[in-house]
Amino acid sequence: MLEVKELCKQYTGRDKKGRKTTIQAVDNVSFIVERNKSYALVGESGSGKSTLARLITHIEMSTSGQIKIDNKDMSKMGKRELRMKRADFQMVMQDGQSSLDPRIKIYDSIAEPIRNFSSINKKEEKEKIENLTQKVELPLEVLNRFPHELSGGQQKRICIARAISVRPKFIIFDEAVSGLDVTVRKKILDLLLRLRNELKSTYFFITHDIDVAMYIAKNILVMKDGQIVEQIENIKSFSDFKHEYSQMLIKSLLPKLPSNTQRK
Amino acid sequence: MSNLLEIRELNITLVENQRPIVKNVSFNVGKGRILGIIGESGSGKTLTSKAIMRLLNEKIFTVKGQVEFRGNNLLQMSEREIEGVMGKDISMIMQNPMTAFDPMMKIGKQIIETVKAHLPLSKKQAYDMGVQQLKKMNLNRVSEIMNSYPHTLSGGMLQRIMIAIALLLEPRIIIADEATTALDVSTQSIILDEFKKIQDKGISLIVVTHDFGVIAKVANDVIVMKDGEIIEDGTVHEIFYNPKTEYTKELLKARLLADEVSYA
Repeated sequence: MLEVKELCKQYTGRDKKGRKTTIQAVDNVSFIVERNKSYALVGESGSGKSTLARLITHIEMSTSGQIKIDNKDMSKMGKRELRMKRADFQMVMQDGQSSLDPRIKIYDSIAEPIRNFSSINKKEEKEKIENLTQKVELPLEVLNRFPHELSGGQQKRICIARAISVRPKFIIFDEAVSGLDVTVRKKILDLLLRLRNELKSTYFFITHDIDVAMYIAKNILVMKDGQIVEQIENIKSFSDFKHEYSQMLIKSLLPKLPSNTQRK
Repeated sequence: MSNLLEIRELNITLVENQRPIVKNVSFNVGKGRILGIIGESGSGKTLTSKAIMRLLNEKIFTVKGQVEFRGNNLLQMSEREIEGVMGKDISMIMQNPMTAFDPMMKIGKQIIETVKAHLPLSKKQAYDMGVQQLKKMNLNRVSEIMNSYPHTLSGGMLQRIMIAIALLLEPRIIIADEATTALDVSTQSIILDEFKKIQDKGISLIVVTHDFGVIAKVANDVIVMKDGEIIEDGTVHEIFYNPKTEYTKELLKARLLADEVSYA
């Protein structure tokens, strides 16, 4: 459904002495995303993974290369067509609080995408919103509150409700579970796995945690310095990683159990 | 095993409405040991460590109890006495290195100021000390770093600089509050290895975290906090292999990958 071909993005900046420098944030990236599969993009800060997400969602324009959606070049789409495509492409960001408008109540935050992409009456809208709230396992009382009154985990659930409200074909999660407590993180990931069976959406999960990637997705892309260094389909275990950078990431993972040297 | 720090019946209440936030917390930090404090957001772990450092605003929090360090109750020391202890004997590494530095001052100057506040050294000597310490932290191009403003450096670099500063004055105890939470896995791994090297010098550490992986990697002793209370404590092996409370078991289960997956 999504085909990325030789995608490049350069930023121009100036160094300390005022000379122009170019930074290759995304460097000749190609991959294919198939329908109803789950993907994870793993990389550390500065690897270009967020830039890549912004290119795919057309928030930023690429310097060169192609993004095709259902065999149609995204850069050749008109404004109207692109707007309707946005309903198919939803994004859940890292910071729940700053993704929600602080001045409007949760109810209206969830309603916004629904109002933008469909025309239903007030009663249907209310039913739909309450249904979504239950789907993300929140009590209906939250609908009357403002974003700052919710915890980080609850805000994240609201962002997910917003994203799934338009039944997207494709959802990008950009570090969507970073910064949460490990217990909350697990609950959100389990919720996403359950929703995926129901929604039949394709997940594209961006994370710096290789264990999060393996928990949520079967297909893993590893990114470093703007390039995809490794692509693995149907991952089974850590030993499927061959690239030395991926192995370094695995080595850096925290142990599950304490080592014997601490036994004192 | 001798105790370096003994916390007895620590209670923190809100001045505003007398609401207790930390309740009857007592624990010891052994000399040269790493104590892990684990709990979720809002469990009171950060407030406990800030109370030890005397960083809580008296207008907002009432702190009662005893914090015994080398025969003195830190909670009863005068402002003047406490200034001599904090930074020198007890130092702290914060969660967010981006906000812990003065954004308007170059790193070199910040290091010199910290050193000169506690030791009778010249500017040049303090500078050289800083350079030496940064080199020990696996940082390259140290003189360039000394001449940089904080915003030009990455989070991982700043965190290593913060640890370097904490170590400069050769404290007896370092409190690290979620010091690696915001870092990439590979940087986290480097910093945690650094903690173990610090321990080898006979310095004690309190590592505050929500991640049992961090505890498994570095801690000797563990206390588990929930809703402002210690609900379980023991050595790292007791907590991992024989957890007593349901809550601890739940926290342990929040690790993502199955048991059979071995971390290389």
